[in-house]
Amino acid sequence: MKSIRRHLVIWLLTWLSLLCVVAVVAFVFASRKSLIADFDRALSPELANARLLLRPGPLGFNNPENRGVEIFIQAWDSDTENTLYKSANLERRSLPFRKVRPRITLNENATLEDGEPVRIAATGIVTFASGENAEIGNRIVVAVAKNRSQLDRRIRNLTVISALIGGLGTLVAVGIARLAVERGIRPLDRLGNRVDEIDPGSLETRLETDGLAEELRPFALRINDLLSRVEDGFARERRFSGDLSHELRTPIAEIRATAEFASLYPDRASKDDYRSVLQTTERLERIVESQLALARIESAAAAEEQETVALNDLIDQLLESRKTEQENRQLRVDFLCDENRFVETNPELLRTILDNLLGNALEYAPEKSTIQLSVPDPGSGEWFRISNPAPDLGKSDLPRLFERLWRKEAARSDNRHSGLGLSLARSSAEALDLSLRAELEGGILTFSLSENS
Amino acid sequence: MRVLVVEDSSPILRAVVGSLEENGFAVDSTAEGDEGLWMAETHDYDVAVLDIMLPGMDGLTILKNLRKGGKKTPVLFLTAKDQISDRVTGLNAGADDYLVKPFAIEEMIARVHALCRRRYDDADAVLRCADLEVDTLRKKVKRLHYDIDVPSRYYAVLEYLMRNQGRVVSRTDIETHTYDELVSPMSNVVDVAIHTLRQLLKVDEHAKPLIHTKRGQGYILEERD
Repeated sequence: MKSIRRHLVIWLLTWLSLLCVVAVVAFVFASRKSLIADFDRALSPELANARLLLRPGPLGFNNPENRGVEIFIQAWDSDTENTLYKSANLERRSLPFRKVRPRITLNENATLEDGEPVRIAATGIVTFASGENAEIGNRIVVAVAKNRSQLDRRIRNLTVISALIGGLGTLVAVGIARLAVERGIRPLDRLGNRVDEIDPGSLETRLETDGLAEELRPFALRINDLLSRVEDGFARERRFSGDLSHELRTPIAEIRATAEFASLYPDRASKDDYRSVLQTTERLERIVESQLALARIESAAAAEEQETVALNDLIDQLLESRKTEQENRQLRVDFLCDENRFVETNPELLRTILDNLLGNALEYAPEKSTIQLSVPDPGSGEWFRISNPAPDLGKSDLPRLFERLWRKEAARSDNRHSGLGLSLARSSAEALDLSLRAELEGGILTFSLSENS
Repeated sequence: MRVLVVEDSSPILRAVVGSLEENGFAVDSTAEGDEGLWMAETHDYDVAVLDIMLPGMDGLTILKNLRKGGKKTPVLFLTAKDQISDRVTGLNAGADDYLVKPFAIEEMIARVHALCRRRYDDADAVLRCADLEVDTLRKKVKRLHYDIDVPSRYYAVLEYLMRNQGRVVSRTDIETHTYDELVSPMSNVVDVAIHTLRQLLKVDEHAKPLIHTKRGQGYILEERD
């Protein structure tokens, strides 16, 4: 499994270690170069001195050892490579000959025959005739050398110490890197643990966003948003399941209790029991039919058959069919429309929508109040609008209005309804690619059926 | 035993009330939650059978108000709410039992009986006093090898006296626990019941009287030498 922590630690370890190694190597290399340059600089005056001493003249080849400096000197004839001079401290040993032109200085490491390590500085000189030991225009190579054991030791010590410091530095860097990763990743860990604790039983949990790193805030906010939606969904499902349970169990319980009572105590059974069973069965049938209708509508096959429908005529028919309900409750219905409007749609689904909306208004509008219906102009994109006073409804009820089996009355005692009418209307609207919305303003509930923009 | 039933579904209410009456219970009933609370607070019921989703006031609120007022009436919830969380909520609110709809009438009756026994601390369904045995489940009364056919309107009084044997119970107590609220307080139903029960329990010349009158206080059922 991929781990950000592991990835960061490995990445930081690799690069910090590499950085330490490169730093140590660079330091050792620069220090070594500096030490050798210092050594060569110290050897340079000795080479100049040797050139002066070896210059032919009254001094001849003067012995530089007289100065008590542990410097090896050797001079060769550049052409014949014959030794012209060798300091006594070289004894039987010799410095290696290098052909060096005048004005050029060569610095290099060498090892004498007995194994003594030396650092050599050599240059070429041209002699001028003077005295008996020199010929005019002779080319001579002169070399001075000094034991470099101390220099090698210093370089070795420097390398070892640098390696140790480098190693220690790497360890410290690794520790710091781990600490930084741990500290840096801690908020992510906390967030992960909090998210891990969330299960279907604790959907009310929300992630703390105050004090959260700004990089993580968008995640937490998004997760909180998703949790709210999931919680709403679960709550809706629970409500639906509870409501469905009540809607189905109660009529079944009624039938069973009535039948069982009549069977146990036949003397007390009456015609009312049969009537009660019949009414309950009809109610159960309505619920089952509504559920099946919803399932059919949601299968999307229902909207396929389309024809031209005269909206105003359809509304008039529905109003006529519900005339008794309207009169019983002494409701006034105002239908505002100038001319007939024709729409291309599935007539059955449209009838389902309008009938349920009209039935809802006739049922829940207070007695003697007014229901307003209108068919807006075709340009408005709206097909139908119905308003009625709804004094018992609150704004908080609006989101649940279209939920299956939802009823304002918590006791669910009214057996004439199951709370599926508005769900059917909305599902039918969706099947027709229409939008059914509800608004509540000043105690007036308005449903509007319009084309999807 | 007197039972209160609060249920808003009229077919269920009719069946429950009828079955309880057939089993010797005196039953008061209502379909409204707030009226149910008022009845439960003003009468001393042996058991209350409550629906949860009720108009006026839900069953849980009725129960909470009862318990808050110190009423210990055993409560059986009769509801379509079948989720475990619903049962836990009901039982935690102080309900004594929970029955999910649809239910068997006989099971409901058995549960009401069990709650009655619990109220009177009777683990056994058969109540005994001397040579008298009352089977509260089968509603059978037996004495000295004689099976006595006690009409249901008198059986409730006998069962109440048996449950309170050795204690003096007033006429009002008997009325409260064995007759529904339709019985007039001025009626002599209790006197008639006691007289009838004494006659029925006198199965032969060896049967000692078990129901005794405490003048000015009421009646007591006990064995006396």
